[in-house]
Amino acid sequence: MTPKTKGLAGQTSILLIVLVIIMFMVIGIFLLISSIKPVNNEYYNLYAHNLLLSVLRRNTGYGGYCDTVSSTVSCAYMTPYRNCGGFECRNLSAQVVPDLIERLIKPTMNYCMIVEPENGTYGNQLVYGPRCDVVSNKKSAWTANEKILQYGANLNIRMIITET
Amino acid sequence: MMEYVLLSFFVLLIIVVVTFFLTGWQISSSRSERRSVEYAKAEFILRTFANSPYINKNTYKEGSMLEDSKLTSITCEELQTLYGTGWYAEVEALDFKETCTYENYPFCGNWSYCKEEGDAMTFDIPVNIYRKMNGEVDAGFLRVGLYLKENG
Repeated sequence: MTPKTKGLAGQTSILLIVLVIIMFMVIGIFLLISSIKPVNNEYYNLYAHNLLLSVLRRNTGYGGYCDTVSSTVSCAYMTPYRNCGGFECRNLSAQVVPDLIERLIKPTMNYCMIVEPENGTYGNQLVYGPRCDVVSNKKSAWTANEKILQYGANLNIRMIITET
Repeated sequence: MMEYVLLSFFVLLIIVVVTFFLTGWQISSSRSERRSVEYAKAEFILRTFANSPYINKNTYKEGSMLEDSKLTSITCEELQTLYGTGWYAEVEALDFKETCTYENYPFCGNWSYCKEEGDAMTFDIPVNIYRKMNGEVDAGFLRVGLYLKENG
């Protein structure tokens, strides 16, 4: 073997080693990509919708204008100082809504519930949730919408949930 | 001569690695295919269970308003005629944890169907529970699990 062919053989070996390393890297990247699981949006959308629905339909135990959570929220929005079982509607809703959501939601999730009048009517938002600023700005969030139909102003209720 | 041996070794190594990789990939993709079928089935049972007229209060068309009397009277066998076997379901009210029977109804809040030992893929959602005796609406959880035939 001449020194020239010896050098070529060495180059071939190095080239092969590099090729094998590249192949391993490609396999590694491929396995990494295929192991990434997509988030199950359908389930979380169902979860958000059922959470909102279950909260709104539940009886509070206070009766009258605050018979259900939905009527309490409605009372808190329209007539915040009205008396409901010894409490003002606004205070009662601020106590009942977060308490119930926190008992129902998964411990690994955050929530934000926003109550606002339907388009075209004026009024402020009612916001329930300790970390609404974080939740409403998160990219991977699931939202459910419901409406409370009532005399005066229909209300849009939005529930946003995210993973912590 | 040595170069040819080295070359053959590397070529063989590449063939072995590619074979292992393709086999592993085939196994993992069939596993994930099976997992996604199980996932879809569990989700389907969860949705249909939450909206089933057999356990929902009639007047709530949106569903997820489970009626306590219906939950108490329906059995695993009856549900298995609708959904097949290999799954379990559990309904749990927020304030009552006692398992419901004909004896303690309506002062109970836990209903369990077709539950047995074994690993299961579980989904849960919040639902309402309609208390027929006093007309009150409670909240709770519906949990549905699909038993996994084998691990992996």
